[in-house]
Amino acid sequence: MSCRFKYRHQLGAYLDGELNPQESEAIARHLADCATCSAALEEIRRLEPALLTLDAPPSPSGLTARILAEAQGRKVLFTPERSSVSPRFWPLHRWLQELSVPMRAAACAMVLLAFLLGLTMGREVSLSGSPRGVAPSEESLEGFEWFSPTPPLSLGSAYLTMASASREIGGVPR
Amino acid sequence: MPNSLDSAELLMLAVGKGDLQAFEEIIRRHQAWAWKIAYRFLGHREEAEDVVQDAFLRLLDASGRYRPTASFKTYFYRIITRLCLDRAKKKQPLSVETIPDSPDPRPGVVEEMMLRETAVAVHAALDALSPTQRMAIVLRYYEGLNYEGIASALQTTPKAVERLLARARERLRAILRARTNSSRL
Repeated sequence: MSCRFKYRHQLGAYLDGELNPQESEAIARHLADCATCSAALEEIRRLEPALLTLDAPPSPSGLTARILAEAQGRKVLFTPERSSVSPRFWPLHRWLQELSVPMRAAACAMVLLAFLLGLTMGREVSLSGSPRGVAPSEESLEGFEWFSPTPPLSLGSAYLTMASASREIGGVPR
Repeated sequence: MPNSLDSAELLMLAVGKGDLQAFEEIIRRHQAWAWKIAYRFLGHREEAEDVVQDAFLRLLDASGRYRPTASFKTYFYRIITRLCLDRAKKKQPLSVETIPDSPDPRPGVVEEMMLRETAVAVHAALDALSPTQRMAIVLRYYEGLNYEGIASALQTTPKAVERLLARARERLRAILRARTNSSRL
């Protein structure tokens, strides 16, 4: 036999003291008149002693020692500074820590050299790629000189013609 | 943020600075209850041991980034709960053999046997729950957490915990009722 009481699914919460006063009062009033819900509440109440028959054995002896041994093994990786470094970078960090100071300086110098080389090469490529080797100081208003020559009768050449004409009208020397 | 830093939070901050003695003290203080949660949830000794070890090592790994925005126990509950739930996705069904034997035969052996049978039945009933329902039951009945505490550990809301417990209790009642009826036949 079931009951359609709207708080019937909250009998457990009622037993746990987790409901607000209004809900608790409503359930208390209902329980006074409903044998079904009273029986259900009693079943929920009996769960606790049944569940508490399930005890856990003592924690295994030596578990603390095993955890500490594992932690000691990580001690080489675990330093106060590195603890703020994400674990994914620990191998790189460890490699850097194991280098001597001159080697670390040499590694940094190589990285810097590679960066500067890349920057220089990149600038040379971009300069050599512009028509007639135009230097950055001669950048035009439109910026079209950075790219390959504008094909004649194209939209770009029409725009360039218009832009040049408007500048001449404004008296801005080219 | 806790109103005042408990010694556990202070120990964790020390671990973050590389103090392994502080880490050992944390293990000493919190291993027992961590073990009980893991064992009651997983029902398997070796898996519970793995989870507890993983949980403490995760504490160690995260110690440099630890900030006491919540109590240490709340923080550790989340770690253990998450590890248990992840483990449950690939674990074997609860082993009835792992239920510990009574160490000494005492007068009232019939009562002992009945208790053991009840424990077996409870173990099986818990295993029939979904992992999150089972964890909610463990945290409620064995750790005595209120709904807010359970919600924090499971990273959900108190209302969701209420529903989880309601469904879990419904299922447990049905299973244990069926067992009681069958034992009477």
